[in-house]
Parts: sequence; structure tokens; C-alpha cells
Amino acid sequence: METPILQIDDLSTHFFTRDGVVRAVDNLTCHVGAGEALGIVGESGCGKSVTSLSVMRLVQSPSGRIVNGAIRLQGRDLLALSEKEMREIRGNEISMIFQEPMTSLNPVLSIGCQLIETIRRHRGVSGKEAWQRAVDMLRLVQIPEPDQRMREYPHQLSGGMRQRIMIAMAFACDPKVLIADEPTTALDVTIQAQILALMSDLQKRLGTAVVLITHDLGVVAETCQRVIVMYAGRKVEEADVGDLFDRPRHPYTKGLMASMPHLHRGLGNGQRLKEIPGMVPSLLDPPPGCRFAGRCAHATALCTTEEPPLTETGPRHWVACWHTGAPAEVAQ
Amino acid sequence: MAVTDTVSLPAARSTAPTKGRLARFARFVRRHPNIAIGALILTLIVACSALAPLIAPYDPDAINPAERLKPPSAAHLFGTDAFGRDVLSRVIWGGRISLVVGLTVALFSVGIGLAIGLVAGFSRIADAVLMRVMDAMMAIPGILLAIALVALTTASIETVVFALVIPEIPRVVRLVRAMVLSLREQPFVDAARAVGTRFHMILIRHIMPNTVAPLIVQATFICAFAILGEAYLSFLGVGLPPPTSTWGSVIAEGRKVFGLAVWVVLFPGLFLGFTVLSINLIGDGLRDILDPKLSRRQ
Repeated sequence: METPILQIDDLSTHFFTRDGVVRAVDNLTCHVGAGEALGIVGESGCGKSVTSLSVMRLVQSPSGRIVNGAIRLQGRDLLALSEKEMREIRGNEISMIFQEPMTSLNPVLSIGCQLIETIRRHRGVSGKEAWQRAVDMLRLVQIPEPDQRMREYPHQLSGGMRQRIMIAMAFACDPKVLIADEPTTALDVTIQAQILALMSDLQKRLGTAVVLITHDLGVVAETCQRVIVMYAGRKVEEADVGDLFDRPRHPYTKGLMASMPHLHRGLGNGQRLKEIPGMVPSLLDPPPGCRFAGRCAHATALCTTEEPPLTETGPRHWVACWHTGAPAEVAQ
Repeated sequence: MAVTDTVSLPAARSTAPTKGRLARFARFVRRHPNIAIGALILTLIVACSALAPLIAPYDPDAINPAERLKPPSAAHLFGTDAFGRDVLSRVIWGGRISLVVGLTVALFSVGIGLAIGLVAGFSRIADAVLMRVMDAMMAIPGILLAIALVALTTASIETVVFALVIPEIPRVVRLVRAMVLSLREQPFVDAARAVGTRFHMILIRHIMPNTVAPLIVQATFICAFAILGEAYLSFLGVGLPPPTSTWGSVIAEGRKVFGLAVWVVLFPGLFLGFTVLSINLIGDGLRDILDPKLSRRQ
């Protein structure tokens, strides 16, 4: 296997609050290959966004801290870099797209001003060249009349347009890795599809590795090659996207799949979508053993005492569950 | 009228681009009538004060006992005061002091307040220290400070400006700090950090411009308030010493003869009122323009 462009080993990011330590990300290991699209899936509060902020080293300090692990970008440990060196990496080698296109742009600066700032910051080119590069980027993300848009302000553009501009900004310096944190959540469905198509297209054309963070399995199925399922700060399952959808192993993944509506397997009258009973456990004082045990229909005594290790159950398919050995027993 | 005067001036120079400029100017006036009116009044008053040596008909301090307390006439448009001095000349000259005080107080309090507010909004330790200092400064009444300063030093324009700036700074600091505290949590600040923007650049390029619009509005109010404040101080006799005329001192002297000669109080009062009104009109208009969400830029 070729060396991954981004390798995360044993990452733990904790928040030290007045009530205790919140283990937002706990011993997460994953990697992204060059030009690959990795999806990170999970419900709210499972540590997806904290993972992305950890990679950027933008975790809210002083309460949040990366307590353990290594994040390697082409072999270079990002956690060992100084803040100054890290600034050279942000936006240049790793860039990020945020969830809220409505508020991710500065309302008092024109679009062009914000794009040019990023380009000049990392490329050291003249203002004129940066302007040209910015216009080219806007054209690349299919914004009509880019020269005019450059002079406009964020409030004059729609949400979809603003997200295109965020994408233009993220790709402006040819990053090696792009982290997209729920890039389509705030957009309506038709725009979602356009934005995802645009991102996939750019990823293929520019060969950028993408980490797509989402709670939407449909989005993952469309855009990613590999998926990580996170639950309560831990990785519970990792597989190629087709494999995961065909043979989900972890009960949580199965629960997520069952809670999605299917067009062709319509529900009968009065039938409800299956939901996963219970709530995500508090990350303040996580229970010993498997963190999903409290909501799992198949939990046994072992599950509540011992933490299940990640085991490879198929080619490139890892699951952290005690009961994957007997899938028939787990399947409902 | 004066509006046509100002636009006919560039029209004389060239013809082709002026048509567009003229149209744009007309559109601006239509859209922001309060700025246009405020700017017109303020320009006239500033011009009067700036050209005081040329347009003032008499020496503002020349005493003429024969002409005491004369009502407005062709010789003395605004009448004369108890010493026979021409009120019009005194008002024109007095405007210089009042306007300079208003402008410098606004500049200094906003400049200093902005710097302190930005630091306080971004550093917790600095915040704790600075805000306590600001609380202490806020507790000082401006008038008492001015009286104390005049007692300690000589009455001068610097003393008056200083006395008016000190109580104004904490207000600006609080405004800026509150804005910074909410702005620093905005996603665009995270987004700026995520593209590798340096800390001071975030502060200067991303946070500061967002505070400017409310600050300019605040500056116009401070300016108006300082002009009034200078008048209070002069009225109380702790401003600039006589015979220097300021609007406040002319009103203060006129107070004694109010029953006999109302014009001595009326005209400087009108100038004072119109100046403050025009500055407030401009402030309101600027607020509408400077907030990009409110403006309908094309």
C-alpha cells in the first residue's frame, strides 16, 4: 500500500471543563491516501468536527487539548510544529470548508479581498496575479461573472454561491488535503447535490485527498471511497464504501442504515423508520467497555466491561464489536 | 443654492465624466438626504469658522461701550453684547474652538478606545486589568475633572480636550470590547485561522473592520457631545479664559443680560444646535451606509 498523505495515529482530543474531562476524540487512528475521499460518519457530538479541528490544530484552547497521538502530513508530525509553521500549512497544504457558508465569510470584506488575502498569504504573488488566480478559481467553481463577484460582498450571494466561494478559497493554494466539515448540511437538497458534484469533480481533477465529515450516509455513498463510522469519540467501523453499505458489521452502523428511508423499499402503512433507542452516552464519564453497549440490542456482560478491539473481519474492513464473529446472531 | 454650487464646480472643468459624476451625486443626495443636509450645514459652519479672519466683520474682542446691547441691525447682524462686541464676529471665531474641540475629542477617544478595546477583547488577562481601570475612569465626572485640571494647570484647549476625552474613553472601550467578544466567536474568524491568517491580521483585517461602522456613528455622537461639553465648561467658567470666545462662553456672558438682549444667547445657541444636529444627521446616515447589510450597493 502506498504511504498515506495524512496519517492520524491514536489521536485523543480532550476538553478539560469545570465538570471534568470530556473525551471528544479517543484513540482515533485513520489515514487518507493521495487523491482519496474518506468519509467520517456519525451523529452529532461523536467527535467528527473535533477530529477535523485537531488536524488543523484549531481546537478551542485552553479548555480543549490534543493529549495524545500523532498527525502526520506526508510523514511530518503536525503536532510537533510551532504555531508559525502550522500557519504555513493551514490553507496551503490542508484547507478546510466549514458547515456554515452564511457566516464563514467576513461580512465587511469583499469576496475578492478574502480570496486574494489567502492566495497572497501563501503564494507571495503580486496583487494582480492573486486577482487573476482568484478569478480563475471562481471560474473553476462555476461562478458566473467572476470579475463582478470579486467586488461583491457575502450578503449579496446565496448560500450555495457562498459555499462555492469557500470551496474556491479552499482549493486556491492547491492543498494536499481538504477537510470538509458538513459542507452541505446548511444547504437545500438541490444545491447539496451540485456542491457535492463540484467537490468530487475538483477532487478528481486536482488530485486532492478529501476528508468528508457528515452525518448523512447518502452523501458518503455518493462521494467517498472509504468510510469511518464514529461513535462517542471512537472509531467503531471502517470499510470501503461499497462493503460498508453491503455488509455493515457494527450494530451502530446497522442502526444508522436502518434509520435511512429507502425509495424502493417503501414503508408499509403505519410502519415507522427504525430509530436507534436511547441517547449518546455522556463523553464526560464514558461507561467502561463498548460505548454503544447501552443502546445495543445484542449487548452482553462482556460488552459492558471490556472494550472491543478493532478487528479485521474482511478485506480492509475493521469493526470494534465483540459479536461480529457471529453475524447471523447479530442480524435482526 | 449651495448644492448646485458644489456640483457646478467640477462641471466647469470637464464635461464627459462629470455627467456620470453629477448623476451619481444626485442619486446619493436622493438616497441619503440626511447626510446631504447634515454635510451642507456642517460645511457652511466649518467654512465660516475656517474663514473667520476674512468674513468676521469686526474684531471679536474689540470693546465698544457706545454700541452696548444693540439689537440685530445692518451694522451688527447678530447685535452686540454687554461690552459692545459684535456677536456675529464672536460666534464665527468661537466656532473655531468648538469645532476643533469636538473633532479632537472624537478622534482621541475613538482611537484610544479602539486600541484598548481590541486588546481587552482578545486577551483575558489584559481584559481583567483594563476593564477595572476603565471602571475607575468612568467614575470620574468630566466636569469635576475639568475643574480640577484647570485648578492645577492653566486653562487651555489641551486641558479642555483632555477633560472631555477621559470620561469618553471607557464608553468606547466597552463598545469595542463587546463587539470583539462576539466577533471572535464568528465562524469567519475560524475560517480565517483555517487559511493560516496570522493573529494580528485577524485582529486588524477581520475583527476591526467589523467594529468600524458602529464606531463612526459613536464618533459623531462623541463629537456632538464634546462640542456641547466644551460649551458647558466655558459656561461654568472652567473652559478657556476670557476674552477668548467660544460658543459656550458667549452664551455664558449673554446669560447675565438675557432679559435685555436675547440675541447674545440665541445666535451662538443656534449655531451650537445646528452643528450638533448636522453631525448627528451625518452619523445616522453613515450608519446606514457603512453597514453592508443595510446598504443596497449595486
